[in-house]
Order: sequence, then C-alpha cells, then structure tokens
Amino acid sequence: MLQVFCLCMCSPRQPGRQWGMLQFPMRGVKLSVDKRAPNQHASSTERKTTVHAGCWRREEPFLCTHCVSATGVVCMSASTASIVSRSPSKKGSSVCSGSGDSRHCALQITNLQHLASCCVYMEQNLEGSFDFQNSLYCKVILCQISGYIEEDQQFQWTEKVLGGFKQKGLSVTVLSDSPVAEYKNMDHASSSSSPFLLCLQTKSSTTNPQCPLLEQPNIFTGIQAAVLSHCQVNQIPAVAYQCYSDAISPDSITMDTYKLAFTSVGDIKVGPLPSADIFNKFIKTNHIQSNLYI
Amino acid sequence: MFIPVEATPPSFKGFTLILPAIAVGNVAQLAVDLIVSTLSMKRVGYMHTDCLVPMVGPNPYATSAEDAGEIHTTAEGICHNFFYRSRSVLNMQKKSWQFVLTSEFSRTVVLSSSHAYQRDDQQLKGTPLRYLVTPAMRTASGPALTELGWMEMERLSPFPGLVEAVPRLSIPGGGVTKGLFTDGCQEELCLAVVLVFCSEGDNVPDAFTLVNHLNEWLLLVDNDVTQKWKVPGSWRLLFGSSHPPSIF
Repeated sequence: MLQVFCLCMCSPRQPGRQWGMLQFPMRGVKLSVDKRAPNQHASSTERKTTVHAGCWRREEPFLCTHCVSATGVVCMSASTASIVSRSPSKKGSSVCSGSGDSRHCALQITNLQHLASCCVYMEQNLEGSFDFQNSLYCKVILCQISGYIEEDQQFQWTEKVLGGFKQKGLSVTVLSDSPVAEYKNMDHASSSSSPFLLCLQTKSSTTNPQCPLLEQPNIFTGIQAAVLSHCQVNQIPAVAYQCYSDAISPDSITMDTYKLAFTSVGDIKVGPLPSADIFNKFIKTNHIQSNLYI
Repeated sequence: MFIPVEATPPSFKGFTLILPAIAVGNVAQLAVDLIVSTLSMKRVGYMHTDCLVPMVGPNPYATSAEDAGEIHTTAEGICHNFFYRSRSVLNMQKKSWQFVLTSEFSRTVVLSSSHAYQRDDQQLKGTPLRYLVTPAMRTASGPALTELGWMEMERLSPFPGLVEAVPRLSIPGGGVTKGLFTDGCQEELCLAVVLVFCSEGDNVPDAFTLVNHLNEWLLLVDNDVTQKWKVPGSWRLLFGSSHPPSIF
C-alpha cells in the first residue's frame, strides 16, 4: 500500500509541516517524472501548475536523527526552487539512474504564479530504474506544501499531484492546522484544552482514527479540503487531521499533538521529540518587525 | 463535472431539478438545506469541478451518530437538488448549464434572492417574493402560478424617470440567476426562477419564506402541518461560537 502524507501550510506557524520535517530523516530519491527540465519556468501568465524533473545533491545536513522504521520514508527540506535547480545528471530525463552523485532526485510541483511549491520525495531503488507508481520498495511518500495556493488553483493543484499516483492501494493522510478561534463549539471547555486534533475521513477509509471526528458545523477549507474532496470522489481512503491551536508559533506541545495521526499507520513508528537544538534549526523564531519600541 | 456515487449513473429524465443560485444572503442554499433535510434525500453524486472553492465537512443532515462521520464536499447532487456549499471562482454558470441541458430534467426551478435595497417604488409594496418563467414553462405551468396569485418579476427602467428607456430584467445580487434564465429562454427549456428580496444578515427567516412559497406550487410537504420543515444540524452556530465565559 502506498501512503501519501500531505503536509499543508495553512498558517505561518506551520506546525504540521515542521512536525513532518522532524520525524522523517532524509534519504535519497529517484522517480520518473515529467520530462521538462528544471528552471524552465513558464511565463507569469501561465496559471497552471507544472511539474519539473531534476536531480539535486543534498548539501545541507538534515538534523533529524530519529528512528523511523518504515521503508521508503524520506523527509523533505524547506523546499525551494533552488534545490531543483542544481545540476541534474540527466536534465530532461524521465528516469534517473541510481549511481554516485546523482542519487538524489526530486519531483517538484511548482505553482509558478505564486511560487508555492511542493516537493515529493521517495526512497531510491538503487538497483536500477525506478517508477514510483509501481515500486514495491516505496511505501510512504511525503508531500510538503511550502507556500500558499490560491483558492482558484487548489483544485488543479490537487488533480496534478494526486493524479500522478495509481489509485489502487493508495492511502492519503493530510496534516493541517487552524487557529482555535475558528473552531465552533457550544462547549467552551473543549476549546480551552487546545491544542487538540480532529479529523475527517473519506467513505472508503478503513482507518480507525485515534482522535475525534470533526463535528458540525465545522468544516475544512483550503488545500486539505481539495485533497479530501478528490479522495472522496475517487474513492481513495484518506484521512485529514487538523490541529486547533491557540499558539502563534509552533511549539513542542502543538507539534506533539500530531503523534495521534500516526498511531494507526502500521509502517511508521514515531520517535520521541527532538532536542531544542534540532528545533532551533528548523523553526524560525519570531523576528522583531516593528521598530516602535527599540 | 457530475460524478455519480453509484457505478451506474442515475437517470434524471422526467424529474424536477431544484437549483439554488449563490445569491444575496445564501437564501436559496438555506432553502434547499430545508428541503433536503425534511425529505431525507440521499446523495446521488458530486459536482467535482474547479469552479468552486474546495470545502469538506461532516454530514450536514446527520440524524444519528452513525452517519455523522460521512463527509460531504463543496457541491453535490442530492436526489434532484443541487447543492453548492461554497462560492464559485470560475465560470460555474456555463458548467451548470451544460449539466442541466444534458440531464433531460422535465423542469428546472432556480431558487434565488435579490438585494432588497435596490427595489424600486412599485417593488417596495406587497410581497417580497417574485417569479420568472421561460416561455416553455409559461405554457406548462403559467396558469397554475397565476392561480396561486404569484407576482411576476417586473422589468425596470435602467434610468428611472426617463420615458424612452426600455425596461429590462434586473436581478441585483442574484449571481448567475439572470444568466440561467436568459439561457433557459434561448434553449426553450422549462425553467422557472423563484426569488425573494432580502438583505444580508440572519437569512434563516428568508429561507423559510422562500421554501414555503415554493411549496405552494410544488407541494413537497403537506401544507397543513405547522412545523413542516426540519432544520439540519449544520445550522447550529451560524454566526460562530458564543463568547467564552472566562473573558469576564
């Protein structure tokens, strides 16, 4: 079964995205993608998302050292277009071979107009060519969304990303976050116990989520809604987790909330939270933006 | 655009389509909410399109804990009603119209609303409810609507006081209503528009007004029953949660 995790940037805090970055160590990837070479950006008038292929070298060390027992699980960096722009070994090639320096490839889906990007990484098959759609080695794919996707582009973005996966055996999990002020409930005690995790799942999902279901009249919007709608319509098992938090910036308590999202996923074991040093390298602290009281 | 829930797509031939327009106060959508909830209609398909802003939520018509977990998406076809839960971003009118044309409904009823503050002097008097019918629908149901005493939407002069100006149809705040009606006239479809003049705010009473008015014609529920409409669970906290007691 192929697990796809979508980490959504729903707010500047991005605790879901940061959590995912910490939990999965970086490994090499290879996949077959669109033949367009990297750095060939279309004109600014082109609103559709495009897929670039390329190879890149991991030059920045990633700090997560936690044990993840799943095969084929890889992490992502704070993905930017510059990573894909590094010298590919086979520019424009649809399949990257596994050898030496060209071990690391990435599929980057870029919303050219708004520079939001998504990097999908998978484990490399060192023995030869690799087709991520049919790989027996790849069990989990992590999809990080590092920018905001406009409302009128969310549908096309989702179709582009999820359309690349074969639906048989596919399962999708979405992590997102929201301010607790947007949570509607008569019982104020529940909102005062933030952060808390709620979820929605598609009809074909057989997952037994470890957190409560989202109740009326609350809804999910944004890219997580687009992904879940796509999965519901196409009968793909999917679960979307949303963390309601009153914290402005990500912290260990908020990020710890997402552990529940992985308790029902058999292939992944979650380690303890990383140390403060590792946190500091991933999470930018709030910088002073006003000189009023300097 | 329409994706059926079952493997075999349903046949809409001979049925009445009730189509809410995204208009002032979302009155039409609230009215369809009442119809679906009261008649316990089931979902027959999804309107999966890039014309609408994505949203998902739990079952808005859940009557028990068992079916509360089923998710519903931004636009669905519920047994001959269409329900749009979010606003459109692209040419939704064109896509909706293509679907209406290909589905062979016997008649289409568009529910809508219009800005109350843009009524002219004659529209300020009497009932805030109006209707429009295409020529094909006038032949089929015109006498029935006249017998009910319904008021047809007036054509207004674009320049009040200027005698030479030709009166025209204007539905301010009605969204795609006018476009659907115009296309219905051109395509010679049986299409009727039922709308209410209202303002933004708490539009629940306007929804009840519209759906009761519609029921006089379509007889969806028994008119003699006092509380004939069932309010869905999704109507709770329409204006957000109440204030937290800890702030005092």
